[in-house]
Amino acid sequence: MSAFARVRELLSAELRQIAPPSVGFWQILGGLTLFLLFLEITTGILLMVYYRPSADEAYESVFYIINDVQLGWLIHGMHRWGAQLFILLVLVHLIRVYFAEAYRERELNWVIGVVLLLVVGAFAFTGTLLVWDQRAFWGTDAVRRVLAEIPIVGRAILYFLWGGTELDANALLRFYVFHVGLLPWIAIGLVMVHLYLVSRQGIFHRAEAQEQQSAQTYGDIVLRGLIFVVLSFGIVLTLAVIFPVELSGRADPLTYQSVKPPWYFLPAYGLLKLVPKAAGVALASLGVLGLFAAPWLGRNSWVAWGLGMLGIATVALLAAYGWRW
Amino acid sequence: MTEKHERRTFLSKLLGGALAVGVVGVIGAVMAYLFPPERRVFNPARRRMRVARADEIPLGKGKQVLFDGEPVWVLHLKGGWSAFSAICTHQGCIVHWDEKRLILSCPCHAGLFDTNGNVLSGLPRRPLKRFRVSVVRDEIFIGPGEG
Amino acid sequence: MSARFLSIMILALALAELTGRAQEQNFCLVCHSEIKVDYLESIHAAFNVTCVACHGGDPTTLDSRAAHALEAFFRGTPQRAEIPELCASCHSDPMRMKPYGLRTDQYAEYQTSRHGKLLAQGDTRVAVCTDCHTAHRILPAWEPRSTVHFENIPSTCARCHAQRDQGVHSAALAKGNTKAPTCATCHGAHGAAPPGVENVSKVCGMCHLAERTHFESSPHKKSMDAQNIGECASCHGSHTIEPTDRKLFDTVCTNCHGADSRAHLVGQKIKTLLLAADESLREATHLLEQAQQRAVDVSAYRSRLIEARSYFLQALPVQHSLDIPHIEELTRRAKSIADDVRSSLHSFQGVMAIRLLGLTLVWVFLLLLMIVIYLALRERRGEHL
Repeated sequence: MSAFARVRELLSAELRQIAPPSVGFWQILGGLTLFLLFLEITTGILLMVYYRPSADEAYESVFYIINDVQLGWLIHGMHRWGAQLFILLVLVHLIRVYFAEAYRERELNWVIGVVLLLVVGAFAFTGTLLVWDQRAFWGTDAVRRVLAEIPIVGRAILYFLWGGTELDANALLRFYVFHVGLLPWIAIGLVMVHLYLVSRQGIFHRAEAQEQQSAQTYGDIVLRGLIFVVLSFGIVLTLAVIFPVELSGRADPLTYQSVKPPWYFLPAYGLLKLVPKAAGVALASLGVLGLFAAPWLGRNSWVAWGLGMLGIATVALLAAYGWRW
Repeated sequence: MTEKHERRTFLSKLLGGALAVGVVGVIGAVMAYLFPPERRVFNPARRRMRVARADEIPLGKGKQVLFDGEPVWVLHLKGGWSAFSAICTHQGCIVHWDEKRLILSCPCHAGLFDTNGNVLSGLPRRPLKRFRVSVVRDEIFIGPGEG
Repeated sequence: MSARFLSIMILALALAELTGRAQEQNFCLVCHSEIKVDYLESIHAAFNVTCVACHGGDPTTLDSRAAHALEAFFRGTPQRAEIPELCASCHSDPMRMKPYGLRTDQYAEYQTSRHGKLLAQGDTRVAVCTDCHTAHRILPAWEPRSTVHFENIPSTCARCHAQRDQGVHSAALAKGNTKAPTCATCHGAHGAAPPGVENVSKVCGMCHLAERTHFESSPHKKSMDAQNIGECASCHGSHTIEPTDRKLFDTVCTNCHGADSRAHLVGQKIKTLLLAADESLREATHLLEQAQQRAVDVSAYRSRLIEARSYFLQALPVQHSLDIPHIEELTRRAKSIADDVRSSLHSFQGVMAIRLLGLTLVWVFLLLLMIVIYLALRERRGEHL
């Protein structure tokens, strides 16, 4: 038996194992986010070939990628739209896990998942600035103003993340380092732990379903997942072609432009519009802490369901307020 | 049983083949992306542009060139070389170099600029934008920035 | 008695300290404190031209009678009629003005002005020096607080004159355009007078040089001069100059020419030429901005549009010559470049069609792939059921 055949035998044995029958459409979401992470990393590495992280050249190099590099517009568009879909799927995955109460007895994995959500947010936030156009610049500068108002901590955060109190070339380089140097390692490491824990603790299924005779193997699930992988690839591709990236002109630190945040930051934006900035930041931090503590807060199913609905309603209302304002 | 088995191997071969085609397509696209483009009209990181050989522009003459889409006058004056944007600061017409009067004049509203780019008369209020000029050995280069 | 004298002396010394060495001997301001603030800010105070220079009297005494004594050549408030001459006694003297680098011809100019002529006829309601420059707070014209600073001239003139500019010029001035004309730019300052009908084009032509040159070469010039019709003003107005608009061709031409005359047709022709070029330019600029938003490289087209715009702007003054071939030449150039840019930019949208075609092909492949996966999946499930 050759080395190749041996591994193949091992893999097909793995794929022939019987999976719980409750694994259906919703359980694919987690796997799909894995594919999108792969897509983001691949297109991201390709973009790094031409991107130049300096205030003098960042915008121009993006311009160059979109205009002169063959298929550059497509790679850039897929990176952008892939990120949007990624965030959307991560959120849906989180909500699905919450309402299925799949976090029971898997509290640590839930916490890791929430950390991953924050990492995804950090990816989106740092990535937006890299284009260095007007929208990116003033969107990030608005965050600088919020942070500057938080006593003591705000200044420390600014020095750490921005490399100073001004949004300038220093900040751009730092954002770049976070986006391509630091966050990917954190994300990959956490995803590996996340997946390892899933495989060790088993896919969550309800007790009553266990009795039934299962009709599917893990191989079936993988194949079914592949259909959705192909589908989501097609969706990202379509979005990138039909809605090409629009730049809003080279960042000009002396020409203010009012910018709405992207949809995934709208709840935070709405909250900051509603209450004083320092209080808003405190409330948002409290909300994130609550998300971490969800497995312990909702020991009772009804309480968990109520809390979940309340949380979603609050976030939706804040987003609507931020969007309308 | 054998018929079913045959169909199954055919399907798995088809699947493998289709996936391979997809992978080849993606790799092809990536290769196209990585191959640096020959066309390079737009070059914003450019810090200099060759105008002419120094002896091609005699004293008192000028040459109009395009620098990143902006018309620029490169002038050979008694005191050396100067370069100004040819765009009038009044309404954006292209100014002419008047060799007789040593003046940059705008044909639209008769604004006049001296050889320092400052307004001599007419409606413009701001002086012409300057560009850096440098004579490197026997060639004249211009670049962005004052000077 | 001596105590009172002492206190006055101390007061006087303190004042001398306060007002500085320049005003050492000027006791006038002790009593005339209401004038003090204004006077001390003035350019006269800065150069030590004291009260005595205009009012006479003895500034070295605090005795009211001695200070205002006729023997001390006390003049009091000068009569309006004698103010110009009084100011001129210094300001027309080249020897005295030389150290300050000031002109000395203002009085001579004043005498030629409508103000000066009426004053010579005994009408004292006209403006004299102090009406514009103020009596005591005389500031140089370059100082923004000065009543004769260019931004303040409209309100200074309006103290007597009801006629105010309400057109493009005052709007530009209000926006802070330092080149915008004020009353004095057209009417003159010291030689203020309404420009004569035959001179209006020269006055306007100081700034609108190209327009004037082309107007002078037009058939309008001779006939309007012959019939004593105002040149620029008869179409554009004088104090309420509206922003130029191609509607003018429909409204003002018919003031003199019949609606079906050949002259009116010429006007309509010019209007059509300008309109067509303007529309092409606008559309090309709009497309350029759109393409730029989509991050399309447009730098090559931008320089071409600058050129086209330049031709169009050149055509605007030329229209005053009524020289249709010349206007046609310039607008044709502007329009052809703009149209060229427009069609090139349109071809960028062709790129989108190619992209969509590619996308469709990819989708065909993806759909086939999904069908194959689905079939394989069904086959597998059939097997172990």
